[in-house]
Amino acid sequence: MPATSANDAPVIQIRDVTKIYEMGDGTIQVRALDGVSLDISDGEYVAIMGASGSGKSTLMNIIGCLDVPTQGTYQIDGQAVESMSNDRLADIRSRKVGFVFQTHNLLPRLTALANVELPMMYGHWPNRRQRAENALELVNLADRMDHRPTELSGGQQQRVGIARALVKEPSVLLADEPTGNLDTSNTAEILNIISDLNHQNGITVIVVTHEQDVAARADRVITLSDGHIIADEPNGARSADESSPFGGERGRERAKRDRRGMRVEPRGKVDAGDIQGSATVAVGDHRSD
Amino acid sequence: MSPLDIIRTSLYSLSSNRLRAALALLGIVLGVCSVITLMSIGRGSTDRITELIQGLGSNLLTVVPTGAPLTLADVDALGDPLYTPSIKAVAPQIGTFGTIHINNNTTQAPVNGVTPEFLQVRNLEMATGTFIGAPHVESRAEVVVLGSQISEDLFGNQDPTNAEVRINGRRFRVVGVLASQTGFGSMDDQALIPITTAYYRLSGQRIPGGNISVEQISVQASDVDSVDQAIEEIETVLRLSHRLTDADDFTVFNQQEILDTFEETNQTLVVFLGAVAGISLLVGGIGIMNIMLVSVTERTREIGIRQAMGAKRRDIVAQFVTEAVFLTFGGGIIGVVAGITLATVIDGRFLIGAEWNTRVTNDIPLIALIVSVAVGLFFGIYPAVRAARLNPIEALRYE
Ligand SMILES: Nc1ncnc2c1ncn2[C@@H]1O[C@H](COP(=O)(O)OP(=O)(O)OP(=O)(O)O)[C@@H](O)[C@H]1O
Ligand SMILES: [Mg+2]
Repeated sequence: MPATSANDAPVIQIRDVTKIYEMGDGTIQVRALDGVSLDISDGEYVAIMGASGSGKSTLMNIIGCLDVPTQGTYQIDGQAVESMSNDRLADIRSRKVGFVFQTHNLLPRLTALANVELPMMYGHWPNRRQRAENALELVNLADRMDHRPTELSGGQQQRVGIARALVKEPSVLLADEPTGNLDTSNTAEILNIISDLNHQNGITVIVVTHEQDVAARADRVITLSDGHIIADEPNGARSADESSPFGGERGRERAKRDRRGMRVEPRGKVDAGDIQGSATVAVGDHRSD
Repeated sequence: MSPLDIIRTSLYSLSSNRLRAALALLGIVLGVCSVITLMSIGRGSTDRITELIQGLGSNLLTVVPTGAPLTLADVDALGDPLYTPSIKAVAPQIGTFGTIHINNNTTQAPVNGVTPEFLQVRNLEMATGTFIGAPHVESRAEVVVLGSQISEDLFGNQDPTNAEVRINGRRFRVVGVLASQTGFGSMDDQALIPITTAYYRLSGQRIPGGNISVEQISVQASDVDSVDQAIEEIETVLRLSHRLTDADDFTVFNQQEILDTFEETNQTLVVFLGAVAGISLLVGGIGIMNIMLVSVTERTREIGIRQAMGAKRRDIVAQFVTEAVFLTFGGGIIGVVAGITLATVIDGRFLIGAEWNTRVTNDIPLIALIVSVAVGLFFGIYPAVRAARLNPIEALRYE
C-alpha cells in the first residue's frame, strides 16, 4: 500500500486501460476498451451504464481479474495486476473480489451450500460450512441450503450467487447485470441485499446495469460508450437520500471504519448502532494460508 | 485446495455421470483382467514345465547313441567310480513295445528292459512289491514291474503282485507296481523288465561280439553341482572305450539344459502375453483420455466458474487428473478381482484342448494396479492441462 492513508487510497486504480480482442487470425481487432482511466475508493457504490457492446462487461472482467488488459495498468488494493502470475490472479479472485454474474453461474450439481463454499475451498478457508450457512441466511435462503440450483427460482439462484460472492468478505463486490433476468420484486430484493452490504459492511460495490432504477441506488454513475468513459458523475438523488437508516455519508463512513471486523450475519440480526456487538459471531480475517 | 477437497470434488464429478464413468472403467477392467489372467497363465505354465522336468531330477543326464551302439560294456565303464567319480549311478535301458495280456484284459504298452539302478536314477518309487533285482538281470528272469496305469487297466484295484501276465505271449510274473508319478518320463503307462530278458527274449536284434546293446543310458550325477564334471567324465570314458579320434558317436543330454531352454521359451511367452495384455490396457488408457477430453469440453463452463471462484491451474489439473486416476484405479481394482477369479477358475481345467495352469503371485496384482494408476496419470494429464489452460472468460461464456 502507498504511504497515504488507507482511506484515501483507491481500491481500484485503472490507468489508460485498453482491451483489444483479436479475431480470426488477428486481422480483425475489436477495441472493447480504449484508454479507460478510473479510480474507485474503498466503500463506494458505483454503477456502470452504457449501450450494449460499449465494454461494460470487459471492464468488469478486468476489475475482477478474470481478464487482463492489453495495455495500461490496473492496481487493486495497491497491487499491480499486469505483473501477476496466474496463481496470484486466482488468489485475488478467491479473496479480494466477489463476482455476481447475470446468469448466476452456479454449479448445477452442487447444493446451494456447496456452491457458496466453493470460493472458500480454493482459498483454504476454515469454518467453511458455518460461513456458507451465515451467508445464505444473509440472503434469506436459510431454508434452501440443500437445494440444487435447478430446484431454486431465478431470484433465489441469484441470491445464492450473491451469497457465494460475499461469503469471502471481498473488498469489492462486482455484479454484471445482477438483475437482468429478474422481475421487479426480485430485483428490489437483490438490490436491497447489495445496498446493505455496501452500507453496513462497507464493501465497495460496482454494478453494471441498463436500468435507471438500479443505477439510482449507486452514489456514482459511470457511463461507457465504445470503450470510452463518456460520463462519470455522482448520483445526486442517491447522495441526498437520508431516509435509509444506514444511508448517507455517515453510515458509510462508519461501515468503512469497521471493515476489519466485518460480519457475515443474517440481515435482521445486525444492530446498526453496534456493528461490533458481542452477540454476533465474528468471521473476519481468519483466513488460513 | 486440500487433498480431501480434491478427492471429494473428483468423486463428486465422477458420480454425476455414472454411465460414462462405468464405460471408461470397463476398458481398464478388461485390460487389467487380461494382464492378470495372461500373466498368471504364463507363471502357471512355467511352474508346470519346471515341475515336470524336475520330476526327473535335475542331476539326470541321458546318453544316447548317435553312431555305434552303446553297450552294457559302456554302462560298466561309466559305472566304475575310478574313472567317473562324479557319477552316482548308471541305468541303461532297452525299449520295446509289447502286448500285455491277462485273462481277457489286453493292453499295449512300452516295455523297457532296465537294471536295478533304474529305480534310483529315475526317481521312481514302488507302490507295492519289489523292483527288479540284480539276480533277475543275471538270470534273465521273466519278471515284470508294472506302471500304475497298466496295473489299474489290467487288475483294477487288486494287488497284481505275483500274478502272471503274458507279454508278447511269454509268461511274466509281476513282482511290483510303481507308484504313480506325473511329469516327463512318467512310467505310469509302461512296464519294466530285466534288461537281459528284454534283450534275449523280447528283442530280435543282436550285435556282433555278443555284447548287449542299449538304447539309452541314464546317468545320475552325484549332485547338481557336479553335472558338468560328470558330462566330461562320460565323454572321456566313452571316447576311450569307443576308440574315437574325431566326432563323437553319442550325445549327452543335460536335464538342466533342457529345463533352461524350456524356461527361456516360456519366459518369452510370458513377456509376449504380458505385452498383448499391456496393449489392451493401453487401449483402455486411451479410452480414459478420450472420456476425459470429452468431459473437459463438456464442463468448460464449470471450469470457468471454478476459475472465477479462485481455482488455480494446479487445482483444475489436480481435479481432472484425480478423476482419471480414480477411474483407472477403480477399474484396476475391479480388474484385479476379475482377473484373479478368472485365473482361479481356469486353473487345472481342460479348455480348448489344453490343460491350463495358472499361478497368481502377489506381484501380479500389484504390478497391474501400479500400471493402471500410471495409465490414469499418463492419459489424464493432457486433458487436465487442457482444462487448466482455459481462459476463464471464454470458459464462462461457453455454451
Ligand atoms: N471474446 C471476445 N472476442 C471478440 N470480441 C469481443 C469479445 N468479448 C467482447 N467482445 C467485443 O467487445 C465489445 C464489448 O463487449 P462487452 O461484452 O464488454 O459489452 P457490454 O457493454 O458488456 O455489452 P452488453 O450490455 O450487451 O453486455 C463488443 O463489441 C464485443 O463484441
Ligand atoms: Mg455485458
